[in-house]
Amino acid sequence: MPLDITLFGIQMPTLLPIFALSAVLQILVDRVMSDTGFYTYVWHPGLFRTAVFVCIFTLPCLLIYR
Amino acid sequence: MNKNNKRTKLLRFLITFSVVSLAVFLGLMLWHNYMNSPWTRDGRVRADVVMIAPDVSGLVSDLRVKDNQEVHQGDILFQIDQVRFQHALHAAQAIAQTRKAEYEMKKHQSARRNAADDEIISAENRDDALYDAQIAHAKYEEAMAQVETAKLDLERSTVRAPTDGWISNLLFRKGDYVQAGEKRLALITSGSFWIYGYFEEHKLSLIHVGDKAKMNMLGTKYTVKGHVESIARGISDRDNTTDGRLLANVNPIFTWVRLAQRIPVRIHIDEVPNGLTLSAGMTCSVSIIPNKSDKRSAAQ
Repeated sequence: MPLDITLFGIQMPTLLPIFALSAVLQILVDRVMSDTGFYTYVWHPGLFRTAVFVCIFTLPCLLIYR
Repeated sequence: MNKNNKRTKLLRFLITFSVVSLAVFLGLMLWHNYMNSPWTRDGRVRADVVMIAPDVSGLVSDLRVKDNQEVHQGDILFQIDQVRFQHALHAAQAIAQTRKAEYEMKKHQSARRNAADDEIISAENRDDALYDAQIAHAKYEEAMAQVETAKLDLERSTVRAPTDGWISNLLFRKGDYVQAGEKRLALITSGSFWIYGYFEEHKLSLIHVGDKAKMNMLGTKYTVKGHVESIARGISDRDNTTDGRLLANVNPIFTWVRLAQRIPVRIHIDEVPNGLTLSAGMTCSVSIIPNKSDKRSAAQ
């Protein structure tokens, strides 16, 4: 993946759009997990949500900075 | 019931713990890769620029190029008014003719005196005539050299392109007066483009001569390919500027956070995508693809 991406005529690091997309993805995943009642199997939902977000964000980023 | 509750508790703890540790691991890995992979957003396209200066002074009587025009080696760029140089050449030729006549005269004189009897011509007179002829000959050669110089000046009053390339930022016009040696035209040599990537100093150990490089031009989808040609072996020390008496002038720094300095890495361009026209000064991000074998040897 490229280091920089051009959106609306502005060049920015690819990390920024990935961050926004992973936030959206995180909201969806969060909704699914709370609807299915997965959070009853989680010790500390706040910590767990943060950790899931970090995973979602870092995995595509590792494709850029290998 | 109690046992089941305990198991659920353990499961809850295990799920959370494993996801959190995965997140920490991935976060650290991304941080490490971000900080330690050889890439920079600070890359510039550079080119060799010939600063064209006329060899003689004079009025520009004809300007044969336009701004940003492509020129070939030997093309006439501009013409300095030649009248003065033609006059100078005629004067030099006239002097040369005089000197030649003088030399002929002295030569004949010397030959005549040499042939004459000892009773008519003294040895001193004969010697003098010989030396006079030699001096006259040297003076004639001097005049001939001046003729050649005048011819050269006349020739150099036509300024030609030293290489193939493009004229850039043409600012002077017909009628301007140019001094000899004064830089008036920039000629960007064609095919001389290269890229300077300014890499943080701590990343230099990851870059080796010959490594492949990918350049993304700012704001475009074009990717230029190349390889590392060389790495600069010195940059200026900004904290130690020598003073007027040649003593060290060390800057008293107090910062806790020190920024990495940037070292220029020269990248040879191997492949330019179709549709992209390189101009010197363009910005690009550069990422170096480290050679696999180097990585292995570093790990051992």
